[in-house]
Amino acid sequence: MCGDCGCQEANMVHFPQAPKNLANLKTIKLDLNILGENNRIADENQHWFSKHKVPVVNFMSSPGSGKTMLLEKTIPYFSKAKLLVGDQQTDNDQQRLAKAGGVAKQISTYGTCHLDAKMIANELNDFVTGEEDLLFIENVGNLVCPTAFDLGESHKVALLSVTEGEDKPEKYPVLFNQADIVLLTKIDLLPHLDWDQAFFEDCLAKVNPQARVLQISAKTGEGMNHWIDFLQTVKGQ
Amino acid sequence: MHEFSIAQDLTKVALDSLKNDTVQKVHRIDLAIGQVSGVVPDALLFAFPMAAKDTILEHSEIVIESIPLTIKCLCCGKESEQAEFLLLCSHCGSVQVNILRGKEIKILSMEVE
Repeated sequence: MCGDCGCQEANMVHFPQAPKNLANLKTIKLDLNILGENNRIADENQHWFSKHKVPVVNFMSSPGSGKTMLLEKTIPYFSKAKLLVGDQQTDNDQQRLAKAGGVAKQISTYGTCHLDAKMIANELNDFVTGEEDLLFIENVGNLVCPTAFDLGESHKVALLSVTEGEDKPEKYPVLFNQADIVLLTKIDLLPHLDWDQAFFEDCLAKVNPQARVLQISAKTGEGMNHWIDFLQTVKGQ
Repeated sequence: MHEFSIAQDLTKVALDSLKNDTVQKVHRIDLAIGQVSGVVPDALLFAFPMAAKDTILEHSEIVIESIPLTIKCLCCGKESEQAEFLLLCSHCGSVQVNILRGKEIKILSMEVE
């Protein structure tokens, strides 16, 4: 029961209401996507990327899963790639990627917990010229919010580090459902953990039965060849 | 907490849809929010009054219809409504399924004056 007025419509929220003039009331039927504006810009971005033949990979994961280190180790394979990297603040990641030889730009989102299509659109014909053979977008580390905002990317990659726990795909299903490929990272730590690979695969299969999984250690290089092969395929598409 | 961004988009989309109208006040907005849309209804309700402040949407009542995740099996062709995010046909157990509903973030209607 509503605590404010006693009605039974518990899903209604009662803000202070303006008085209604019943004679002039009317209901307008709509069927409008609230994220229509973001989706429209994402479509424009996608069109731009397609016209310039730039494949775009959006990296999504929790903070600390190893996105930046994976990109540091990926950069040497793709000399014409560029990187956009989102964080609330600091340009630490941009500096790390530049030190690894990458052409990277930091997008500071401040109060916002995700990148949106407009932030990417702002970089087109500017930092992103259309001459890149790949664009990597490192989203803000967050397993929830980036899922609602398409950027116009061609591929979504989800990372899960082995220290985060096997059941994260089931706990955060929307992100792992959207991923074209799931990278299980930091596998060099497996000897120190009680990681249950079958349990992880079960959890992922519940939310994304078709997901391809690659096991990677950016630190030791294990599994990197499959990751680079995947990106070469993306590049050739 | 990306719901503040969503509340801002909601405000913009609602106001845009009324810009050729002579509406003076919006009393109620009906939304459809899918269970797997990534939007938390309570957080959206919390954020909306801040996003709608000083507009004709201010003080609108927000009513949210939650849309359950519904999948269609590509093997047996049947639909299942899922209580949680599980892409598994509850009729034949196949994982070859499409999501039919549950990702919506929509304005369905507005009561205006």
